[in-house]
Amino acid sequence: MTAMDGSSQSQGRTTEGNGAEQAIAVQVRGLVKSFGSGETTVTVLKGIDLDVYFGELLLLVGESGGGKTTLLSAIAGILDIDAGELDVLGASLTNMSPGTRTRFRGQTMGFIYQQFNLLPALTAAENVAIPLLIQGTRKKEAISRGRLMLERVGLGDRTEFLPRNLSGGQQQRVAIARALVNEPQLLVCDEPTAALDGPNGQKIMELIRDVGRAPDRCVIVVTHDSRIFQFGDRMAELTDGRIVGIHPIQREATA
Amino acid sequence: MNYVALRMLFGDRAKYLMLLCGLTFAVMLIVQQGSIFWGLMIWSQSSISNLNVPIWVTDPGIAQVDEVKPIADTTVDRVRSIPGVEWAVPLYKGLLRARLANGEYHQITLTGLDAATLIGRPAEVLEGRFEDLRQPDAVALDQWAVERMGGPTVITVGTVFELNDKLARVVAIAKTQKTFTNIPVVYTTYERALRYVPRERRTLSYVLAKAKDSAPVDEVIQRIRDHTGLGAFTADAFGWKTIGWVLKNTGIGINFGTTILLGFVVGMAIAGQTFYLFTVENLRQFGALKAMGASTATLARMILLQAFTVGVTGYGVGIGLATVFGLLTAQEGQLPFLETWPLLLLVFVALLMICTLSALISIIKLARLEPAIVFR
Repeated sequence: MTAMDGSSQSQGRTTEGNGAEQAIAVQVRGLVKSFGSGETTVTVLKGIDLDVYFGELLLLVGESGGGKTTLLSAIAGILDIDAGELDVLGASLTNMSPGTRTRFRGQTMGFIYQQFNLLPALTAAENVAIPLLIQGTRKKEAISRGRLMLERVGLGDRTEFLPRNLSGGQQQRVAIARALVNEPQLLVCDEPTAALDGPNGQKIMELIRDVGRAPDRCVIVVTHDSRIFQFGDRMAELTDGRIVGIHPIQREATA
Repeated sequence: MNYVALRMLFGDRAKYLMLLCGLTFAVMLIVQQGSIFWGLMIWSQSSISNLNVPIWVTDPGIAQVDEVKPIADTTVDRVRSIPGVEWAVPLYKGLLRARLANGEYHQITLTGLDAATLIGRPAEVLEGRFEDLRQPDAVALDQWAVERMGGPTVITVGTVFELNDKLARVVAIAKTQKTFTNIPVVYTTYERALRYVPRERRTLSYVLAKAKDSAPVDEVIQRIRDHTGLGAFTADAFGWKTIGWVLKNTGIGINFGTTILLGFVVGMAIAGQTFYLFTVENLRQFGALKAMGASTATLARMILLQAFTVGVTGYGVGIGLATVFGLLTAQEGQLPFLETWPLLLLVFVALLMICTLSALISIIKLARLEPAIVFR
């Protein structure tokens, strides 16, 4: 099923109602993904069509088990799909070898997880430096850039702290810094506020919106948390493996 | 990413210490048992090495040095006549009982050396003069004889005891390598040894010989065999033959082999299980690294680095502890303990195997890991 927000689309470009063109960052067509085999096969994504544009923050919402996280994983290239086409940042993930996809992911994407997934033995600055270290940046330079990124997310005074000595909100800020340190074009966030209380969740979303959204970048956020809907530009709703609606979020509702 | 791997390893201190303890225990057990085993093997052939002669001529059916099969007395002259032989001397070796002045009996190994040359004499003399063996009734003892026969208050230079009702007077005490059976060794001249022992038709135990410098030892040995029909060996070959006999005919090899295998298995079990737990507990972190662009090869390198780091550390600590054990318990040759570089190399290879296998279990787990785990 295809669900568009009313824009006309062609070859990576779409024309909005006001005539301005927006480049497509992620294009999903006919995406199908199943788990299990035989009688226990469960089809989680049943032909998803979706476009995500540069400069926008898209919220993926819907009931539990609706396929949000599976769709996010597929877009991030960390889950093989059964059928369909998946173009991310101008490259076809469908045709990429696993190794190329891993490199592509490391160079172009940033990840923010519900459980932060910081390495407990590493300081905040070292955790932030990981994507750079993976790309082969020298340790000294990577950690130095990690410190700068931590300053950018307001944790300049916590660079040498271990994750266990940081609050949940601070840990998620570290995770955001880590996701951004590589200057990714696609920021993938899975329930980034689920482990945080209300005020902290708001702050984190403000940060993601401020630092994550840029003309050459787009952000996809999977969430259940209705309190953060105001931070998105559009909201795609998944139910039973299908997108049942994509709605622009009203500007006046935005914080 | 090596830095990250090491920080992850050292960061989980409890697991790191458990891994280290497991590998240290394995190394210590293998090195300690291996060193004792090798020490015992060296002891089993010290009747050969203590005499320090290059060629042994024996009965053709000889199995090991302590199982003497006497040969014809004429053999000495026959060996001397073989081209390439520089010298050949007789050796008597046999068991006898010594009766001390206090009435105690002790079984001894009587060793009769060529009186003119004393070839086969121990290199180091602790007390007295070995040359005094040429005096009437003179015998020399090894230091283990002193220990076994009552200590220095009972046996010292000048002490008199009886061998087969004949007088024996101690003129020297020599330092030797302990033997496997630790039976006291009494040295005397060949001719006197024959007087001590009951008369037998054949009394010559071995012929000790040396090849001329210009003659290849192997060729001379072959000539001795061809000309005499007897057995002839280099000291090394005879030593290995004896070690082989001990391994084949006693349970020592199996006993020590089992313990060493146990050390290997226990080490691998502890290391493998702990390493696997370490990986499983960090699965989300590894998944996150994979999601962030770390390839399976990178993660495998990280795991191998962690395994080998803790392995090499455990190797060092384990060898250190085994060496301290050896120094404390094997002082002055009381316990067979011989730590040799081939053993250490072998243990290192075994340790690398343990580390590699332990790491492989984790690497297989990581290779199958879908980075999507981080979103679950």
